[in-house]
Amino acid sequence: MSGKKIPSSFIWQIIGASVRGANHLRHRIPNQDAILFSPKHKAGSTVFLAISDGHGSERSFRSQQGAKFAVRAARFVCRDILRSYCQTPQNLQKEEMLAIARYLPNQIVTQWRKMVENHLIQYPFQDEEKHLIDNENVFLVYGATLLIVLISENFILYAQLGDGDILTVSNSNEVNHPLPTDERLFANETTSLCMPDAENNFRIKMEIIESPPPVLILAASDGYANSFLKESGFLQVSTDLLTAIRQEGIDKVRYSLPTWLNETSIEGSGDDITAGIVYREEIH
Amino acid sequence: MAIRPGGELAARPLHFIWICDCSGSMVVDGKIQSLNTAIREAIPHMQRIADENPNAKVFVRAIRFSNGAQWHIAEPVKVESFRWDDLRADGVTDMGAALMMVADELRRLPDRGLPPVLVLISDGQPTDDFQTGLRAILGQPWGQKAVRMSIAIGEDADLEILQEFIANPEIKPLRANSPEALVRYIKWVSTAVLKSASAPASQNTQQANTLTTNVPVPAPPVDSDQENITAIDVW
Repeated sequence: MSGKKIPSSFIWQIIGASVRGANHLRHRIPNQDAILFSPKHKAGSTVFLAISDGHGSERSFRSQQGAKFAVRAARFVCRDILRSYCQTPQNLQKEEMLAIARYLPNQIVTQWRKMVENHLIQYPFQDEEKHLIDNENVFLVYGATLLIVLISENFILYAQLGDGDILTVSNSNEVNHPLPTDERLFANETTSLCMPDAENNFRIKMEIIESPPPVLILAASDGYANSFLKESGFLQVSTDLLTAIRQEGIDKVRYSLPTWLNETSIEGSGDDITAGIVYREEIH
Repeated sequence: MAIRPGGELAARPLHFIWICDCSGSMVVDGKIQSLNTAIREAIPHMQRIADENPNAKVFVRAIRFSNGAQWHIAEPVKVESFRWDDLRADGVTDMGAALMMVADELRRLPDRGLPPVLVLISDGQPTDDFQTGLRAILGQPWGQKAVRMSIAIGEDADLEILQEFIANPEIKPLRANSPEALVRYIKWVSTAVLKSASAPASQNTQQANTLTTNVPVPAPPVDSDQENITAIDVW
């Protein structure tokens, strides 16, 4: 371990919401997104956020469950990482960061597959479902994406498998994508937990908190960005949220968020929309 | 409550392009007039489907090919304003030229959108370089992911070429051997296929073949004409 002194802990708040897409409502399809985050209704120096988007195609007819398993698997693995690497108030070494970057995708995929297999034991396929199953890859039935933001006292971890977006806003209101773009995510195609080599398709970034970290982090399923005429309109979401939190307080934004997401789905993509917002409290 | 965060919202665009054979043979047995009638009759059905899904903004265009190719409807027209002016037929079958022009338009489409629907309708064999045109389409990301359908009018249509255009062995060209079958197939691509393309689900990248759309194409209507082919075959 390095002996370098870490900066004073930052205090974070997190809110989130998930709404059923307008198109899903019309066709009586359930919300196939899932979200888990902590802490709820209080601030903390450690934050976890996971969002998953089930594919929803005919062949992924249990992707609603697949999305729930995805965020649970992420929570399980992230807790493990916090327990293993964040007990001492010191910066991580490069080797430890690389170990986390390897551990996280492998363990999430392993946990997710276990959950799927357990679900299959409890709820075997019905005869009328069997023609939809790819016998070479049963996990396709549960296919889902995953977005993760994990903040400890000394690092921020961003991880993504598949479509969706993670945006950060700096103190100077600059909006960034912390993760590189994946050119394969085009025309509703996405990488997924159901892929045989899913663990190799994660995009991961870890940042040691040495200078002031982002003041706001937004993670959202792809239905959000797809609702805007231009990309700039979506990027504006993050800065508008920051302004709203600063002006009206996070509780009012928490209250308004489902209404905003519903309106966005109705007038935009029609898809399910799930968003998690991590806000760094001002230290005076 | 503060105002909704973010910029202007919009439904995602879906471009629907008719690619129509207007060679001289289309005059024979009233094929071109049947095509004009079929597309015109499909318009209200197309508008109804688009109306049922306000989260997809459907735009229609049409291109004709005979001696070379020309846009019949050059600018994307909102489906609610879509009207059909009759095509006229004469000349040869420069299908490749039409595909090149369609590929050029697909290249200009922004990343944000739903997979385009391309419907190729022909009664004959290409007289120009079809392969170069097809390669141009499949060379575009939106060309690969487009829903590509083809309709063969009559016995002389080149089914192999129309199958190559689809580039997916699970989807076959539709064979219209009568005006009634043509109406039925035009209506089907204007409704069932359009509906499916308007709200596609996600699909993982390994499941999706790189040359095929990830839009599930519904089963086409059963052509009772083909079952009793000698009774009412006119083309």
